[in-house]
Amino acid sequence: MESIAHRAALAAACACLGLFAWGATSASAFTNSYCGVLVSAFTWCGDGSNHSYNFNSATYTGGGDVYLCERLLIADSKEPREGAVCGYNSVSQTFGAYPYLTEAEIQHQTGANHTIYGYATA
Amino acid sequence: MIGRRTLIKTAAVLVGTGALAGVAVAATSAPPAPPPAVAQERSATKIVAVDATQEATLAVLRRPVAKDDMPDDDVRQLVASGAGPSVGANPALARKALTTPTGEQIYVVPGRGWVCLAASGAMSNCVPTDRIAEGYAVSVQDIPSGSRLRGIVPDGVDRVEVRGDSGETATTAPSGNVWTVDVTFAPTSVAWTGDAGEKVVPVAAPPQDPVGPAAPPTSLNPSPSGDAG
Repeated sequence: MESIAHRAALAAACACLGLFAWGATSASAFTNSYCGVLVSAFTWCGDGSNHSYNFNSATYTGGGDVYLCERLLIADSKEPREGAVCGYNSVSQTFGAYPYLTEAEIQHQTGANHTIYGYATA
Repeated sequence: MIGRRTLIKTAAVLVGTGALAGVAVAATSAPPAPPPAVAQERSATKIVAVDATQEATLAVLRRPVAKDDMPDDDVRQLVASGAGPSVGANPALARKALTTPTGEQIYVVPGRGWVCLAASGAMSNCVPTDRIAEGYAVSVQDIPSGSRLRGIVPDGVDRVEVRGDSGETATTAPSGNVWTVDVTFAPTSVAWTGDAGEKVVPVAAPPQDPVGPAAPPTSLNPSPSGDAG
């Protein structure tokens, strides 16, 4: 009896490990809303994590017009993956396959502080 | 019945597993945590028709959708990925505005109160419909030779001028309410004249310095009140 219970316990532990592993690997296929807070002009606001992003956007939905930029950085570096795209109120870009993880960033260049929204998918 | 020793072993294994997972999370979350994000709502249903303001502003959206207007896969993916805010932009209502000399297709894609310019080169720019007449439907992208500018203009605009800091200019004629031009100088503004007079909107090339501009930057279109949104 104890042997069966022992196996059951191990099976439960393995299942638990499996769930953790799934959680870790599934992080590469998800959507990420980031920033969404007051950001000062010319300050990059990042998602703070590393993923295989293939889309990034910056959006402002308040009053007036705000000039925004978005970019991907190679993870844990200051090296942009590709040139940024800038424009008023909402800009976005899709990216092809890439062998390295990236970080998503947005900024605005209008006035003092604005709430801007980042949205990236991997 | 499960023995006490077995229960203890089970608990130990689960605690150990949790600890391992905790270490793994700690090891992979090196960057400092950003401020709590306020997620945008992203579940808007697609619009089913172009609205009256969009039709009144843009002739390209008044003509019937043609077979050739169906955006290519890149543009549909761009819109499906979440280009712009969640305003229900519908690629089925898109109109192809022009094909660039390099073969890139540029589409006008309507959403709920917003209009997007979407290019097969994998970028888009969306603005509220009423901002088009004020000149704010403009975007700038880095290209090897300089900057690529694109925009949407209202009916009646037949010439768009991109200006540089040292007096450089580049002009182009819109087609299907859309214009695009490549410049080798640093663009500082876009100007055009429409039914409501001349509109001049400041722009800037995308930042080159990954850690921010070296010189104190000049704010574009300063906002009178801190945060409007």
